[in-house]
Amino acid sequence: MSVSTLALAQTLLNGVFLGCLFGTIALGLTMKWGHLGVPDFFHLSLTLLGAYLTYTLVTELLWSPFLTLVVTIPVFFLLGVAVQWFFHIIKAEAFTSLLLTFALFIVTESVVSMIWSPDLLSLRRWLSDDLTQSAKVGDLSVAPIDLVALVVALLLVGASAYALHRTRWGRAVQAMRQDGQVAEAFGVQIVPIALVMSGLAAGSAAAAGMVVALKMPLTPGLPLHWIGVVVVASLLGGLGRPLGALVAAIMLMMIQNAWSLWFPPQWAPAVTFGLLFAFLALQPVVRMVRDRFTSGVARVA
Amino acid sequence: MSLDPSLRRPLAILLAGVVLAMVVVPAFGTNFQVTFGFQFLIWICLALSWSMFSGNSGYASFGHGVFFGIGTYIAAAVLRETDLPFVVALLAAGVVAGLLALVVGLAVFASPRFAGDLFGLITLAMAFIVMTIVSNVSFLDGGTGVFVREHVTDMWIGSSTRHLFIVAALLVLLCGVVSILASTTRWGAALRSIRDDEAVAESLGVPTYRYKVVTFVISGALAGLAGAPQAVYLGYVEVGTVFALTIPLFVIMMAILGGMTSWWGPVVGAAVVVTLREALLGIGSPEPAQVIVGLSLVAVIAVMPHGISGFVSRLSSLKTVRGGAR
Repeated sequence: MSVSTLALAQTLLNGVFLGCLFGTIALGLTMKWGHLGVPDFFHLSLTLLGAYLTYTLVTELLWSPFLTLVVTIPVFFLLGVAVQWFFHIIKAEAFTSLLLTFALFIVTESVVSMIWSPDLLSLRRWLSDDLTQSAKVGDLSVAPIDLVALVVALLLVGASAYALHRTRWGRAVQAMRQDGQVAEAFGVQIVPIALVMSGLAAGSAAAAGMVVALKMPLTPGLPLHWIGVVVVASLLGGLGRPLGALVAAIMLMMIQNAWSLWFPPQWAPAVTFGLLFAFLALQPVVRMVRDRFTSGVARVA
Repeated sequence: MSLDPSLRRPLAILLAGVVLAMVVVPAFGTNFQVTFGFQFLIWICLALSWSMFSGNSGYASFGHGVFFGIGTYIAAAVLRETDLPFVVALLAAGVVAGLLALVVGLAVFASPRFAGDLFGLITLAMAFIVMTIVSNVSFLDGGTGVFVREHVTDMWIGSSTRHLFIVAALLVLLCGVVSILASTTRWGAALRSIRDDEAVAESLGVPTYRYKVVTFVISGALAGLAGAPQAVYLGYVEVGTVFALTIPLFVIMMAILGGMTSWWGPVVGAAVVVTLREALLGIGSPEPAQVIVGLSLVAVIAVMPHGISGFVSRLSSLKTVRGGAR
């Protein structure tokens, strides 16, 4: 089967935009996983919840999708703080936290389908033409929604990377990850940092949810399809590295989209996991290379 | 073979319980009771086999539903494609699930990096891969689901739920015996030393890699065996229900709720969860039931980190302390 250059370019470009969305979702996950030690499935549920809230605010109150962020981000921030606070109170270990977030993940799926029904909900016909009409750039078509995804991803990931590497706060986070007790002895306030970080991660889920609502029809089962890509992107990008997760998500989506051009698309999910297993098998090599070429801190097992 | 005296009592209790259930329930139970009992026994098998590996070694697997599901599918395929008796389907289900566990175990346990949360995620990823494969391979499913009922109606196993109950009871006996062995023998001690501190265990000469792989395989194979009667019970096998992520969640919940400090903990947990679920089915729609079950899991973890059996043994040890003081 021959594939035209144009089709390939368009497919890869779509992969980039889809990757931006997944990179935005992965941002909160990789930050919490890498720095707080919690692989948070609930983050995906929050993203879905954000998408549904956006849907309701746009369709019921006729708000602009961008205005909804004023409400959803603060609410989600508090939610993220509350969840982390709960983990702190019960002194949850890594596995217990994983299990808790998994339980919350299942609970949210049911709650969403109770409130919004299990049917497909699409925001598309509520959006103005400015957002839905694709523009032509050369021979390629670009949807304004995809540009929103790109901008949101770059803003959030850029801000996180900057905060992590350039600010006092970010250095405190890095110190906390390297050795919590020593950092605490040097005056790093671990509990507030963890709470704020969890809150910010949840806030990013609200923004990602807005993009999700713009980009695809909503069903309660969506996060199940995200787990693979988001988790693999977080691992491939290096845990706790926002930029790495974004780049990995974009690469994954480009590969997956290109795969669908030549091979049966129903096997595409297996590609992501195949890459994950290849990555895990090559882990020692990757680690050596990374330690040699970057000054970043390797994850403390 | 001489039997360790400490093993005699639990084995006798288990045997008596299973034999009693096998005689009483099919003979006197109503159809509803037998069906309920069958589901209960299958959940006990899953909880026991999960806890045997994950509870003892501390490697929490989210992939137990995969072994169970692959067992279901293999049994369904054997029953559909061949005229072989049910025993063959049962054994095939166990063997294939065991092989899958062997492949995954050999790879994952090779590096100490894949402990803790990464192990959980890898087993979860395994679930997605197996789901993709099963729904695309026409021998197993191919996306349409498999009708098992029409192939088993004239076989012994398909003629009555009572026969399914007896098979499930025998599987519980098997899982129970292995669990008791895993909790009281040298094998169990080795697994628990891995949970407590793997590096120390290794340095003291415990072959941790071998123990982990072997136990993971046994655990997976037992779950696969439990999948075979499940295929007959379901009658129609379909990817969405067989590989539902709620299955491993329920299994983990049973083991945690019951507590993993003693072999009978998961049995108690299974009883509680199954009863809770049955009671919640009265509500009508499945979503509220799922919400309540999920939230109670959160509550249980927060309040009783060692589960019911841990709670009971702490109470009894408190009593002994007080008795000694008197």
